[in-house]
Amino acid sequence: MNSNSLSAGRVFMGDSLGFHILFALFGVGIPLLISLAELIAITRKDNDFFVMAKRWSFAMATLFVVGAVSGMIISNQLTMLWPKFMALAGKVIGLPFYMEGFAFFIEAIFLGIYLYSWDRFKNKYTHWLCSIPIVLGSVASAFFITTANAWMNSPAGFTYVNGVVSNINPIAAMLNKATYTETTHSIVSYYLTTALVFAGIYAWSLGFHKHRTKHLLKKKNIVPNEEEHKKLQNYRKKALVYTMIIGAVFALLMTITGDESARYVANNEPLKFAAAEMAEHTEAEAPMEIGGIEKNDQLEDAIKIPKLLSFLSFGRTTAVVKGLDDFDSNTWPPLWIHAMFDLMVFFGMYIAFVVTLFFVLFFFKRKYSFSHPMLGLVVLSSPASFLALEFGWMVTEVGRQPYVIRGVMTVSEAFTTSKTVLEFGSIFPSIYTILLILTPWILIRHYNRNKLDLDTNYFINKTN
Amino acid sequence: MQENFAFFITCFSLFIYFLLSSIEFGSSLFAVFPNLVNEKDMVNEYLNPIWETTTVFLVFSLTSMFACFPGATLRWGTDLFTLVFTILAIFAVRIICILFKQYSDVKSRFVDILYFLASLVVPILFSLVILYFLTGSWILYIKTSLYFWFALSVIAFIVTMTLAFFRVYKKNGALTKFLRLSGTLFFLSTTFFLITIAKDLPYLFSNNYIETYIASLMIFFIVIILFTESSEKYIWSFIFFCFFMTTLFWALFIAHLPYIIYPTTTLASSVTDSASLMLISWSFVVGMVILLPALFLLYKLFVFKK
Repeated sequence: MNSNSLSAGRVFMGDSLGFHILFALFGVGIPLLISLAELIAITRKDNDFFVMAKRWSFAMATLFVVGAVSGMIISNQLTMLWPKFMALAGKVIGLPFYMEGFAFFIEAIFLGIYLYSWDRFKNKYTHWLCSIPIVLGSVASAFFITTANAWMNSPAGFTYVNGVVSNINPIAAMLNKATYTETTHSIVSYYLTTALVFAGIYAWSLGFHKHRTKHLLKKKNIVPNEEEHKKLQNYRKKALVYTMIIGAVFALLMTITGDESARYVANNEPLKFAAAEMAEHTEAEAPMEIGGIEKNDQLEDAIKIPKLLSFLSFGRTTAVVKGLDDFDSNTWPPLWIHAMFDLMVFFGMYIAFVVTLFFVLFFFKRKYSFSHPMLGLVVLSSPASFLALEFGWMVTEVGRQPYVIRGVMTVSEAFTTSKTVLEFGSIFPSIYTILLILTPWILIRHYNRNKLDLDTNYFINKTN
Repeated sequence: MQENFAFFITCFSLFIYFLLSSIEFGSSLFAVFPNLVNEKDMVNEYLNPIWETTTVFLVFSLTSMFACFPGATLRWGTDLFTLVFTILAIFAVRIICILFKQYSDVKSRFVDILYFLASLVVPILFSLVILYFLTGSWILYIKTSLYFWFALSVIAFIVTMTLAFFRVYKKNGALTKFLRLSGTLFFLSTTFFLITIAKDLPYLFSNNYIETYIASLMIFFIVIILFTESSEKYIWSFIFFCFFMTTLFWALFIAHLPYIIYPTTTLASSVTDSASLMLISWSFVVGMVILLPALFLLYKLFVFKK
């Protein structure tokens, strides 16, 4: 097999997954934000929340389309690039793939209904009810597909001897050891990221956009309408607080699931854990090594905190943590995942800090929670949440290398024998680049051209 | 027995996609010729809530194929590498065009034409995939009259299906003249395709019994279609056209049994493990119980609305 082709195959798959997750996460996260916003709007007869739900639904539809197309590319790429893997996985873990299709279906059908039926039902709760299958469908879809990934990390429910699969138990495969921690941690991260991206947008418009608008109006000698501006700022504040509350709930859950996830990896995937933490030697009272530069399989200039790794992983400072020297070096994943792991933790902690600070200020010094420095920190939490998510997935996927199914099948064994990987695979990064430019352009253009309408009262019109 | 049910599950979703996507692909005609029958806005109105669901049927067909027949994955995954990646790339271009057309207010003739071309090229290439499953190769047949007639038949079908659907949906009699033209082309190309199959791929229709009942059914449906057309009962004409296609579709798929990829991979040798299949079958039943009412609601709200 040509090693260039294999490397290219890895890169193309990595590109697809990295791109898909950026859009798929919104497919999971936005439905919940919209559904809750609409429910608040109906129960409190709050027009602003209704406007939020309606405006966000356009983003939901657009991002769903891009997520669906990249998802379709991935499902084909899996078969085309890794046919031997799919032949084995299809037998053992085909069930969640199949069920994911159904969940995706429900999501797509009700998305169509929800988007184009704002004025079709007399009772507003009926329209809101249409959002529930989208929320459930999207989370079920994420759950099923993540169980398949969890199975790759923790294969179960089959026996594999000399290339022959037997004793298949699809339920055991689906509910493998990694399923609980991986599904909860990833789904929570999608909700958190979505909430923070929206919070970042509102923090930007609240704190920084007004100056640009005022500057533009001044240039055109137009006197800004202060009352209009105040109304707009109130709406933005409301949206910011709402998304930050959702963000805070999921940041808390993120901390819990992150801890559970790390403990799971320490106990069940010790090699990945050793590489992520750059634990070179098996030892008790293992120190936590933060940062540093990896050279010749050694970490230099890292900050060492004695006993912390043992304590965080096993709850005891005396616990033994397996190091890289316990494993055959041919089975080590690339050690740069340590940097990815540290970056994920760093951005995760930054998010926790920003969310906590925002609410401390909100409850004790409210005016500071909408001050420029605070809003700036919230704006930065948007890219931080994206980066944390991407680095997290890199640790999961790259940390499993050289295996595609840990301990069962290597990536090179699973790879296609086709000779045209380089020629055809390189088409997709170009398509992703176009979509990465086009999608934000469509969204920005749409929202710039369809200004906020805070004057229409959606409740009076319908209930009278 | 179990492999037949798995085959049914896979073909069922593929067939639904085949019918729904034909209207979706065909409606790209209205993007390029909006003034021909003045139907552009109506097409958008139809497509907006529906097209995402149609695309999901394709994803669903793929996951069904992979979950039900993992044993065939290695072969078709390797053989169809170039073809599937080409289709995917063009499909992605088509989605980019849809994003432009449906989600931004940009009016571009270039995007319209690209959308139209991509909508035609995807099914033309997709018919090569079907030919691969029927014959075990697509490269061998790409320059043959068999593929020519098949591709022509697929395109004529898409146009006919679209026009027949929108004639009923919009009650637009102006579509009839175009419809009769595309319908004639479809029946002619399909006849030539079937004649070529009988000549080049005799194993496909080696069972006289199947051959006789399929041919009888198809002739029966053609007679009904001609009758309903002449008496201007367009909805029945559309329904019987769908029945005709159902027969043809099943004929092609059933004809090459017991193979899933002729002549090496059979259904029995590639079907998934019985424990997995049992659970997949139950998911299919439960999924359909949820899915069919949801689909009915979607179509009732947006397609069959008064």
